Amino acid sequence: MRFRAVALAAALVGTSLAAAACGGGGTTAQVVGTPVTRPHPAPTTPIRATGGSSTPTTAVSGTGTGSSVPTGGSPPSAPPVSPTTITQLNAQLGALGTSLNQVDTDLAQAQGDQ
Amino acid sequence: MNAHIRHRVTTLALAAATLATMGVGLAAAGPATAATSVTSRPGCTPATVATAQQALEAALQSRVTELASLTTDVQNATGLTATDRATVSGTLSTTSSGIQSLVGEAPSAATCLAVWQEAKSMVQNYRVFAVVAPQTHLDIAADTADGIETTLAGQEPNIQSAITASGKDGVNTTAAQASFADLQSQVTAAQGLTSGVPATVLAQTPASYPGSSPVFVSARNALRSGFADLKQADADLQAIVADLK
Repeated sequence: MRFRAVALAAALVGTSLAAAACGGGGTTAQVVGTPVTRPHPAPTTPIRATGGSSTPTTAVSGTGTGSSVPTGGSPPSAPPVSPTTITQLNAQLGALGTSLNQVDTDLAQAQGDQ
Repeated sequence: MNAHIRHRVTTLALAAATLATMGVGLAAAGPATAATSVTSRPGCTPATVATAQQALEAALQSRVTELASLTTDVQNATGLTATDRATVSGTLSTTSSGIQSLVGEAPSAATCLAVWQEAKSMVQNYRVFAVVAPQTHLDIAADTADGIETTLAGQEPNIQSAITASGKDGVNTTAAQASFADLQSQVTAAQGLTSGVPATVLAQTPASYPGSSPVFVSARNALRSGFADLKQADADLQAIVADLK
């Protein structure tokens, strides 16, 4: 009856009963075997690594090929005087010439009329 | 000579000839000859005074037309300074009022003496053709020249900066620099010729005649020379622009 009790106890912990069966009356059953391991449950949130640095600890080097974008020549220099000013000057010179022609007419006319 | 001027000259010639024939000649209106003319009016008789009166009205009308033309010229003259515009406009307004007054009186000039007195006032008091017209156009011309000189002188720093910048860009600016030096010289010369013209011509009055005539001729000559200088300065500017392209 005692044997049966030990055997039952051994069976309950999931281990081999070989030693108990050979032990005969009154000896302590020895539990042998490998521990049962259970798989860890899957994480419910993504695992993220932290603690890194964005700064490379070694110099980045390398070469590559590609076409460069042409930048063209330097922009043309601005004119010394704006086109508007030149147009204005020409108009003023034309007006001055007209006025002087009128003066010539006036002076010629004044000689024969007062 | 345009049609307007031809018409005016013809009208005036007829008026002068008619009045002169009648001893009421416009030339007789001068201070030195007035007394002689008054006493030598053999052609003006009661039978011919109507013709003389019509000639007077034509002469007055030619002045009304001239004054209207001058007023338009002043209104269109963008180069006039505000001060000179006010002065010239005032002269034109006063002269027009006086001539219009004579226009209203002329039909009532029923005698040779009355016609002569009207003609004398028309000429001596107002001198529309001998003083007012050249004075107006000379002042417009002088102020216009002053405006051109101011514009060119104001651009000189910009021009020099553009030449300097082009030189730094590797452009050969030797010719541009020479043109710029000439431009400055021409503008300075023009300023010296024209700066005093407005005050001189505006100081002339009908009473200044005949001394006003050589003053006007001198002013015209100075403005002509200044005009030539400014045209050369403009040519220099065009050359600089072309050189720096």
